[in-house]
Parts: sequence; C-alpha cells; structure tokens
Amino acid sequence: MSHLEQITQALLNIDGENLNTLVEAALDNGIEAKDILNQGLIPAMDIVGEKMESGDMFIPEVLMAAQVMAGSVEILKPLLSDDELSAGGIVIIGTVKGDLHDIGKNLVAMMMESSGLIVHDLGVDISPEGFVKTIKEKNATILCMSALLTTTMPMMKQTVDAIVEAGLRDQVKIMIGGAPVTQSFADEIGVDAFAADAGSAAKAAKAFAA
Amino acid sequence: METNKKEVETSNERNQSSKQANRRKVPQLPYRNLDFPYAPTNLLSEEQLEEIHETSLEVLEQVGVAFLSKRALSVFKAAGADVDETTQRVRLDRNLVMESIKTAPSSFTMTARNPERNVLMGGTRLNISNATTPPFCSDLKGGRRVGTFEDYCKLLKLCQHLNVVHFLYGYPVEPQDLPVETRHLDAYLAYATLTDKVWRAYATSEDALRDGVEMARIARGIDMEQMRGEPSLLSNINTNSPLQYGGSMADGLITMAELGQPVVISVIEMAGATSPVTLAGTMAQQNAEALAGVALSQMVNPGTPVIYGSFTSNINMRSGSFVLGTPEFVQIGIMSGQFARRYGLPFKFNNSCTSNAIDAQAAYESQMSIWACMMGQPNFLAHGVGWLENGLTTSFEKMIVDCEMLQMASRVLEPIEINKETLAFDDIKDVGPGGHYLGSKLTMKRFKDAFYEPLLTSWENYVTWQKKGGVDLVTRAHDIVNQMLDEYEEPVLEPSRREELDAYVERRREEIQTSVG
Repeated sequence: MSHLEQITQALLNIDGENLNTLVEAALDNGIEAKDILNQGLIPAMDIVGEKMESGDMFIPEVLMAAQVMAGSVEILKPLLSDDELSAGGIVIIGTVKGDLHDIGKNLVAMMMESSGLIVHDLGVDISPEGFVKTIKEKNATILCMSALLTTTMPMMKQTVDAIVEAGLRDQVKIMIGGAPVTQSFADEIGVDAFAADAGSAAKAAKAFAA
Repeated sequence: METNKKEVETSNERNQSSKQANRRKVPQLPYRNLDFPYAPTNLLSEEQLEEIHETSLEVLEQVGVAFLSKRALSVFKAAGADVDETTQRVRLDRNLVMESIKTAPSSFTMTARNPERNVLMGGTRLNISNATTPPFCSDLKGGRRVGTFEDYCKLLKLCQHLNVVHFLYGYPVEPQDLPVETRHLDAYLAYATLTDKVWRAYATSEDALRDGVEMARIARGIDMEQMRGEPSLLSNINTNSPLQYGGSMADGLITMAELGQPVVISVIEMAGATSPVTLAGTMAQQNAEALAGVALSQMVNPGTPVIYGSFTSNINMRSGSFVLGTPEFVQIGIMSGQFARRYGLPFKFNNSCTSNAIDAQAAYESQMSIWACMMGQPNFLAHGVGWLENGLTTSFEKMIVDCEMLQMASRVLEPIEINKETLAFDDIKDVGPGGHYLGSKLTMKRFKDAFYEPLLTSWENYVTWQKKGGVDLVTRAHDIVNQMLDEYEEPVLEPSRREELDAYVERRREEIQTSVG
C-alpha cells in the first residue's frame, strides 16, 4: 500500500496514533501536505460519510473519526497555505435567532469539517447581524442556517435580507435545514440549498465549491 | 353576497339531513371521565428509585441547571439558591428543592368554558389530549402539506367532536399561513369558538401567553380574580436538555405561575444525545431538570399547579435522530410515573410514533406508547390523537386510528360489574349444556352495549369484506373523518363573550402589528 492509501486506511480504522505517525512519515517522504489532506484524509472521510448515510457506522464512531482527522490536520496546518486549507470552502453555521436547538446543526458542522471545509460554528440564537458580521470577518463562502421551530423560521428570511443589504449575497451560497424546513420554503426565501440531514448537507456544501 | 351565503347554508342543511337519514352516526363512546382501576406498574424498586433520586439531587447541587432568564435567576437568588450570573447556572441544595416542591398540588382541576369539560389533573384520572404543534398535516385526499389555518380549524373541529379527547394540548397543526406575531390571536379565537374544552397557550412569547390567559378568561365570562383561583388553561414548558431552560420557557413558567395558571414541565431527553446513554442516567437528569422547574414555579407562587412531564426517549445510534414508541420509551414512561408519584405531582406522558405512514409500524409504536400509559398511568396523555412522523405531521386519518385504540384502552379501564345479575346463574341454568345464549333472557336485556363497538375496525370475514369493496383501514378512516366533520356541532358561546373576544383580537392585532412596524 502506498503512503496515502495507508493514511486513508488508518483513518477508516479510527486509529489516531497510527494515523499521525503515518502522516509524519508521508511528509518525511516528500509527499505534499495538500496531497495528504486531499488524497489521504478527505477520501477516508468521504467513505465515513457514506457509511453514516447507509447506517453502517454509528454516530459516535463518525464523531471519533472526525476528531482523529482533526488531530492529523493540526500536523498539516503549518504546511498548508490559506488557499489550500480553504479550498473546500469556508462555512459559517448557526441556529437562528430565538432558537436554541443545535444537535442536528452540530452533526452537520462535524460532517462538513470532515469533508475538508473550514467550519465556524457560531452556536445558537444568532441574529441576522451576527451572521453578516462573521461572514465578513471570515470571508465565508457558505452560510448554513438551522431552525427547529416554525416560529423561528422567518429569521432565515430576515438573515437572507440582511446579507443582500450588506452586499454579500454574491459572496455566499446559503443552505438551510431543520425539522420543519422544506425545499419549498428554501425556494420561497431564495436560498441555494435545503438539506434534510447531515450527510446531504455536507455533500451539498462540497458541490458549492466544485 | 348575503343571499348566496344563505343558499349555500340551506343546501348544506339539506345534504346533512339526507346523509344522516341514510347513515347512522359514527359510533363513538360517550364523553366520560377515565380512571385507572388498578395500581400502576413499578419497574423500579423503592431502593432503585431512591438511588436515581439521589443522583438527581447531586446533579442539582453540584452541576446545576442553567436558566437563560434574568427573572428566573433573581427568583432563585432570592430563595437562597447558589446562582452564578455569568454562566447563568443555578445550583440547588437538596433541602431547598424538596422543601420548595412541597407546595405543588398533587391534584387540581382545570375549568373549561363548558363545565362538563372540566379536567381533573391528578389521582387516578386519565385525560387524553391531541397531537400538537406539528408543522405539517396530511390526509388521504390532500396529501402531506404545510399546515394552514383552514386545516387547523378542521382539526380543531375533529378534536371537539372526538369524545375521547378531554382537552387540547395545543394547536393540532401550526397554521403557518398566518403571520407569526399575531398567529396566536386567531388560533386562540378558534380554540375558544370551535371548541368548549380546556386549551393551551404558547410560551414562545410573553404576548402569546398573556393574550391566551386573557382570552380564556373572556371565553369563560369571569374576572381575573376568579381566574387566578380557577386554572382555566395551561401552557407547556420544555427544557433545552441537557440541564437548560431557555429564556422564553423560563419566563413563561414564571408568568403562568404569577397568574396562577398551570404549566406542564415537559422534559425532552434524547438518551445518547442530550442525556446519558443509560436509562438510569437519563432518568436522573430528567428528574433534575423537572425538579428545578417545579421549584421555580413554587418559589414564584406557592401552590401553582404544575405537572411532571416527560417526552424522553432514545436516539437511533446510527443516524443520531430521536425515535419514539421504542422499548426504552416505554420503560421511561413507566419510571417517570413512579417519580411523579414520588414527588407528589400529576404526571404527563405521550402517545407517539416515528412512522411516516399510517401502517403497522405506526400502530405498533402507538400501541407501545399506550401500553406505557396503561402501566405508567399518566394523568395527562399528550398527543393522544393524530401523531405521525415523530411529531412532524398530524394526520387526519391517524386521529381516527388513535381514537379507536384509545377508546379500546378506555374500555379496558372499566371495572368489571360483579353482582347477582352479571354472574348470570339464572341464564346459565336456563340455557343448560349444549344450548346457546344468543336469545337468552340476559342477552336480550344487555346485547346493545354488552361489548365495545368499534368505529373503524373491520370485523367482517374475508369474503364479506371483499364483497363490500375490500376497503383498507386508511380509506375507512378518511371516510370517518369526513363523516365526523359533517356531524360536528359548534358549541354555543354567549354572543357578548364572542363580541368581546373578537374586539380583543382586533385591538391586539393592531397593537402587535404597529409595534412590529
């Protein structure tokens, strides 16, 4: 097996120690950091994502895999340029104002990070101004909003309006999700995507960057 | 316009009478109060109950519960709790908690605008309510759709007409075509006019709560002083697990307590995600969250009626999503009942299912829930009729399926009549060996209501069923929905109260719209 194949396998085995050793060895062997990330680590997480969707992996295992990957990415970070790091996209994610629910959002954030995107999770109860501010600060390319209550869904539209007003609509792709959210609501308020679960959210985010 | 309206009404009346001439009414059991005649089931021994309770106390003392509300924090502080303003965490000493909850009544009555629909919350009483607040609804003809005010009103009429529904736990579907800020005004007006049963106001905003109390008061035709002494509506407070009360929930709890109106504190743990993966740990956390809220209500106003509620279940470990009607859900329901009784509080649990269709899965998941109810004995069965899809959809047809299941359960609760006549010795003697009872003296006397008569269930043999069209359950349920909507009668409301309600709604609508700007 090549270095990169071994790295993919170690991550699939959720073996953090071994993975980090292999990453160091790969670097010593002259393999570029961005190749280790894009051809070693991310393909493993793509497989993890598929296994999550098909129910072949348990969520705690997916979480562990994501943590193990994040650990190895720390080794690569100093060697990656900003562009290489953010090639997949820079995501701002949060639950809208008035809403405190975040379990689903947390899973989405984790899956997106594991897919190679940079994710800034703002948490819950985020106002339209809060989203706009962070989009500017982090040069975000993707905004993800979550709501569990029908009474807080209107905040999604208000946030879109605030983004348009700030002249940022062309900069970000906007995705929404949450139990009461629908495709037709997404169409109505003019966002770019609706995702029904973490797996499809991560896929949609990746497709934005492509 | 006026003339046309009249013509339509007359033609409806004509249709109605011809329909009724050809078809007997849907055979519902009469509205009646239900009581559990046998002792609840205990899954936990006394020792086990205390072990979990002890852990709950430790959680309250050492970990604490966060209340994202300045009002709540100041109430706790004044009562002597350890309050950390920066983290908004409240730690409660065990004596403070257990002393505080002592004033919560173990039983209370909610007064409806029709006193024959009063609800006794406590003791052995079982009260059934409707599936509430889903964003979608569905029926066979219209399919699955975002809830509208029209659907909302139709579902309310069904809830009113269904004798198995004792009170309204909330909106049978969220009427999403109404603007959020004023939605509650139209929704509450419909509650008060289309039904005469106790209903629930929403704590999602201070407006939604106070307008609810005021409108319930007007509908009852009483003043605020009488209202304070007679709980007339309820609200629902959910925790945001783990160990958190959101701002509007905590403030809602306080407002209701100040107004002397009851709340159900409904803790929703998702074991494995927002509570420990073990049931013992989940129960310990559930108790801690509930006790903190109960204590708060009593600190604000000792004697406030408050219900220990649970909507706790487990997650699907492969997807992370919440699942209902599971074995764990049943165990939690039964154990929750034990704790509610240990704390001397009325108890709320739920009918529920995760299924996306009205199929065998929906039926067995709901049956598992009803089983939990029969053993755990809640005073308040939430989401009794209509629930589908983990609570995302209220199904018109499922309301009838649930009605059938709950009616059957209610029959099981009826005590067996034992007396000289029912022991039937005379009949047995008359009929003798090898005879039959179909025309016997006792049978002739009692045949009409000897046994439960179903409204939805098909008892025909295969050939007969096929001959009649081989109609499946969901289609039959759909027909019953339509028949019941035809049979529905709007309960009488004094015109003066109706006028006052209408005026209140219009005034408040203007005020809210102006303030929203």
